[in-house]
Amino acid sequence: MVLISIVFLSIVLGTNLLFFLPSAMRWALALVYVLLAEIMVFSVVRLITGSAGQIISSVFYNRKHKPEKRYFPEMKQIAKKMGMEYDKPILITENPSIKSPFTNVFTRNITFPASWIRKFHRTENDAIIGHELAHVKYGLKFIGELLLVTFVTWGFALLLATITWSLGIYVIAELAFMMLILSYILRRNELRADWEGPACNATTPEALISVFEYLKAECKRDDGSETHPPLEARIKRLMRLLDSDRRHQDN
Amino acid sequence: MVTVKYYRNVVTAMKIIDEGTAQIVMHPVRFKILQCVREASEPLFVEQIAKAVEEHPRLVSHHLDVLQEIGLIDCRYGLAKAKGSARGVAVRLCSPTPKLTEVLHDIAEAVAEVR
Repeated sequence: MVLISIVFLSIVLGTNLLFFLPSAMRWALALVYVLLAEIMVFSVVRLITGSAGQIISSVFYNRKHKPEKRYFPEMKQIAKKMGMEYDKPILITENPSIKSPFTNVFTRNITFPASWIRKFHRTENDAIIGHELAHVKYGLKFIGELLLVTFVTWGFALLLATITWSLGIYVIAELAFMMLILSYILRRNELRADWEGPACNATTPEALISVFEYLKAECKRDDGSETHPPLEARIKRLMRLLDSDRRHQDN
Repeated sequence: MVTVKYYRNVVTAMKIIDEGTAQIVMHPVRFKILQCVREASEPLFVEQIAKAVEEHPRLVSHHLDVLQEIGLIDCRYGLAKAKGSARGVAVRLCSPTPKLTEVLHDIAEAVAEVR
């Protein structure tokens, strides 16, 4: 992320030096945006590969091995406390390429790897369900935010087109900008999902912290990713709930 | 107490055992709690365990609930001495069960096999 930021800043500073070029050339480059928009969409998909890859994998895997549909006893209650309706079963899969639970915000399906059901306690699985239900709850909002990212990047690209003539700079700066802003949105979405269940008293923060501590011990490095903040940061954030009964006011 | 290297061995060993109880024990904090409870000469209460394993008391309480449910520790309420209280305060006292000894023995064996 730091590297991307440095590249981005240096490019922006560089483009300012090119400001005195003929305006016709600059405006012509703005027309190239149609082509670059395609690259933007590609970068979005690439950034969310973590979940997109799992969804694609599950589509192919599910053709041969039907996932088990299971209703968790507490699921409806959790959803109700979170102020939403959810009456779909959780899809339990043995697909080895699915390493963690995920939500398809378009179909509202929650997929759980069977190994997670075995290795976590019932209360911890409820906390994970709460997290995934929050993704369902904020699904439309999240899609809206992704669209907003596209438009903001487009605006940035148009602005950039008025001050630079280099296509290379144009493309790199645009993608770097998009990666930064998209990563922020995706990470914020995860933090919001972490907070939602415990904040609504639907699940306990202890259970979710317990899950994160387990995952942190399992992985060698806890650096987070473009889509997920580091587990340590997520644990620290949830720890605030342990010392406070005023959960809604704390967020 | 638990070292990182030992814990990694346990993690590897658990992949071989793959049982419900063993999976629950595999949690790093729970493992530390179990060791703490087992090594203590007398039943410990939540605050004492939290201090020993350097975790939040509410987190420890959650793990104790889980461990009690699967029968690895035994909890009962009793009086403990506290500063400023002549009669003591009511606390949840935790002690190990025979099942815990069995499970930890299985883990030790599995770790030895991995080594």
